[in-house]
Order: sequence, then structure tokens, then C-alpha cells
Amino acid sequence: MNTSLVESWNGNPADMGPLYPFVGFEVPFFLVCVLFWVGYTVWQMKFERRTYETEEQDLAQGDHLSRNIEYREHS
Amino acid sequence: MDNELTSLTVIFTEFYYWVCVVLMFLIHVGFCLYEVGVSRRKNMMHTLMKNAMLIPLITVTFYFFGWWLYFAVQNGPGITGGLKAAAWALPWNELMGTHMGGKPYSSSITAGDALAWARINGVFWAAFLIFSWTAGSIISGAGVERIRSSAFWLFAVLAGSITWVVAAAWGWSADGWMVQVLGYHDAYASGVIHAICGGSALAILIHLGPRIGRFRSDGTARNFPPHNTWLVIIGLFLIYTGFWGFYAACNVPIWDIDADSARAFFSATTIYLTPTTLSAITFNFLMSLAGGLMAGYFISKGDPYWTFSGGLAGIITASAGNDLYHPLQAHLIGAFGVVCIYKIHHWVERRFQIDDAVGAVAVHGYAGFIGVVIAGFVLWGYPASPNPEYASVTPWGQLIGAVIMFFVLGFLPCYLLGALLKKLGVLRIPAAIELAGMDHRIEQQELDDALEIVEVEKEEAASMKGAG
Repeated sequence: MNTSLVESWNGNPADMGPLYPFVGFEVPFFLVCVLFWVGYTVWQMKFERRTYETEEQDLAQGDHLSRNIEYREHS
Repeated sequence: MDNELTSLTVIFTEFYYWVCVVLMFLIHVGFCLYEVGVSRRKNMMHTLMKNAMLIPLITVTFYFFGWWLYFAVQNGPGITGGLKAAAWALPWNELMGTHMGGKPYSSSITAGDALAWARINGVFWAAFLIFSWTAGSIISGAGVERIRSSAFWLFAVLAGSITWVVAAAWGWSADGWMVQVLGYHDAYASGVIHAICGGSALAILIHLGPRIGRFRSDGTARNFPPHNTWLVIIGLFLIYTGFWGFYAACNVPIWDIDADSARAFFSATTIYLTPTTLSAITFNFLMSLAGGLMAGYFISKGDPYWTFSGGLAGIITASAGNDLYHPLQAHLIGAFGVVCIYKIHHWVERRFQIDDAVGAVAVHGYAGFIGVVIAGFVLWGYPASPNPEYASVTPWGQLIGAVIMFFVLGFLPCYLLGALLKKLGVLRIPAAIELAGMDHRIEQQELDDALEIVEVEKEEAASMKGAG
């Protein structure tokens, strides 16, 4: 098993090209990274919306919001 | 790299950009401190997270498409030519990874590409990337205390990985179409970064609206004092420091500026490959900083915020021509710019009720715009490039360039995105949360945790008393 194009560090360095593993599989790695980024962005937007909805509901109960502002005034 | 001189030149260039990148990281540290200091205590953590998380999001998108865009669209495309090939900047290319510069594995690049880019691609990419973070950070401050993080990060990717990169391709590259046709000259990015991001911030602020309570019924603005002035000032000092590194990163450290003849003459150059020296830009950086600080102190009658912001705006105003100005000119240009932006900022705030919490539109946008235009008069007739077929610097070329930067690439894209996000209801946080504070949930959790611990401690103390 060899994940690299490098078989020895003792050859001619001027002939050495890419040193990273799995050369030739860059496009699949790129697609996975794009999916991760898109997935993260969608998740984050939903997470933020849910968080604000919950907080808004919480603050709308009784006098939570006015107590919060009063607490800040005195702290 | 088969002789010591070539190796020294290549590895020095690699090291030069690496050092600049590390210095430039301080810009982002400074922006984080500055924004957190300006925001009220109830919004601190949200402000920090909003700015910090632009780092991964711009980094990954700049890797995906920003770097390629810089090389590919230098002709417009469609103005001075088509899309340019730039295989070494594609995210799946072998030169975007560890590479010794020897025989390419892929047929998409030549041996010459491999030799030229293997050691410079990563550090050059990183230097541009940190400009991209700066682009995001500039617009971050303007919308502080009411913008949704998810909306901001979309703006950050738009400005950081697309619009400023297109601007750099057009007006901040040796063969960009604006350099060729307009003679556009903007050596240290007055327009390319600052005017664009100021224009972007203004567009976002129009849709976002002011913070609750910012304006009185007669239209005058209430002052929202920073919760920590020290953080604000230290943040600005760190931005100055990083900006100094940015100046060095804008140069090519060693280049044969006489390559067309049989002779050779090595010098530092600007991004346009026109000659300058590190000594010259150090003179001008510091003299324009001095002019900006003095003018900021003078015009604001000693207000610390405007004095230190004035230092930054002074540098930004002079940056377009700081490769060529005399230091005394840089000093006066920096001072003049700060007086102008102070007046414009307060007029716009009163007239249009624009709540620019950190003065981003003024310090970056107006100063950058004015700086590009001033360079057109002061550097009138200078060749914009070593290529004799390209246009020379003119006031009208610079004015058109400033309009492209501020309005076309800065204001317009963010205005359209802002309109869309506002229509979808995902631009601004709900009013109740703005009143309670964006850290409301975190503060509540901290309070609950502290109370729980106090209860446990009380029980422990009671059991000790019982045992005694």
C-alpha cells in the first residue's frame, strides 16, 4: 500500500512534483469540501432561525423582556 | 533551484510573503477587539463570533473560487479579452498543494507553471486571503448589534471571495483591464479594498436600518458609547500594525525591472511591476498616519475614537499613490482626506439617518474613494504600467475607477443581496432580541449555571455545619 507518488527521498529532487497523498483524487476531495460548506451554511441558517424563534417566544412571556432591561439597568 | 542565487531569491520571496501574512493576521485581531469594544456589553459574544467565523467561511470559498477568479477575469472578461487560463489556481490543481516544482503529474499545467508557482502559490494565496478577511471585517463593523450572523456571512463571502477579488483582477494586477484602458493606479488598495467595502457597508446599512434608539425624533443621533474604549484603541493600533504588513505584502520583493533590455536591475515593485522601495512606502505609511491622526484630533476636537480612526483613514486616503508620493504629500493627503470624511460622515448620518456604528463607510469607503481620485491629479501622466501600450494615470481614469470600486463592485452587489435577504426576513434580528441583547441566551445560561453552583455550595456548607 502506498498513498503517495514518492517512493524514495533519495531521488533527484528536481523531478519531484506533488508530495501530498492520493494524487489524482483532488476532484472528489473538492466535491466533499463543497458539500461540507453548503451543508454547514444551510444548517447554520436554520439553527439561527430556530434559536431566535425560541428566544422570541421566551421573551414574549409575561414581563421577561422588561425584567431583562431593568436587570441590565441595575447591573 | 540548481544554484544558490536562484534558490535564495525564490525562498526569500516565499519567506517574505509568509512574514507579511503573519503580520497581517493582526488586522483581524484588531478588528475583533475594535468591534467587541464598540458593541454594548449585551452583544459582545455575538459580535466576536460574527467576526471570527468569517475566517473559515471566506478561507474556504477563497480556496474554492476566489483565487482562480483573480487570474481568470483580469480582462473583464469581454473588455480587453476573454477568460484567462489559470490552472495553478483551481482548487483541485496539484499546485494548490504541497509541491516541489518538478515534473507535473497533471497535463493541465506546464513544467514552467510548476517551477513558477510551487513555492509561491500558498503564501501569495494567503496574502490575498487576508485581504479578503479584511474586506469581510470592514463590513462587519457597520452592521454590528442588529445584523443576523447568517446574513452577514453571506455578505462577507460576497465581498471577500468575489467582489473585491474581481476588483483586484481589474485594477490591482499588472494586466487588469482597468490598468490597461484607464491607467488605474491604486498601489496599496484605497479603492480596491477600502472603497469597495465602504460601498458594500453603505448598501447593507440602507436595508438594515439603525439600531433601536439611535436617532431622536428630531433626527439627531444619540451616542452609543463603547463598552470598552481600551479595546477599541488597542484594536486600532493592531490594525495599524497589520496594515504595515499589508503594505509590504502589496509589493513584489525582488523583480528585474529592466528585463526587456540586455541589462538587469532588481528592485521591489508594486503589484503593477512598477518600481518602488520598502523605504519609500515606510516613509509614506507613517507620514500619512501622522497626517490622519493630527487631522482627526483637530477636526473632532480631541475625540479619541475619531483621532485613532483618523490615523487609519489618513493611511487609506494616501494609499493609492503611496508608492510614488513624497512623504510630505502623503502627510497632507492623509490629513485632507480625514477632514473630508468626518464632514461627509456626519452629514450623511443626519440627512439619511444611516447608523454606521464604527464609521466603516467613512473611514474605508469615503477615504478610499477620495484617495483614488486625489491620486489621479497628483500622479497625472505617470505610466500606470511598464507596458508602454497601457494608458497613463489621469484624473478621469481614477474617477471612473473610484466609481467602479465604490458603486459598481461595492454598493450594487450588496444592495441587491440585502434587498433579497430583507424580503426573506433573514437580514435583521427580531426587535425583542435586539432589546434584550444578542447574548441574552448565553447570559441566561451563565446565570443558571452560577445559581446551580451556589445551590450546591449552600447544600455543602449546610452539611458541613450539620457534621460539625
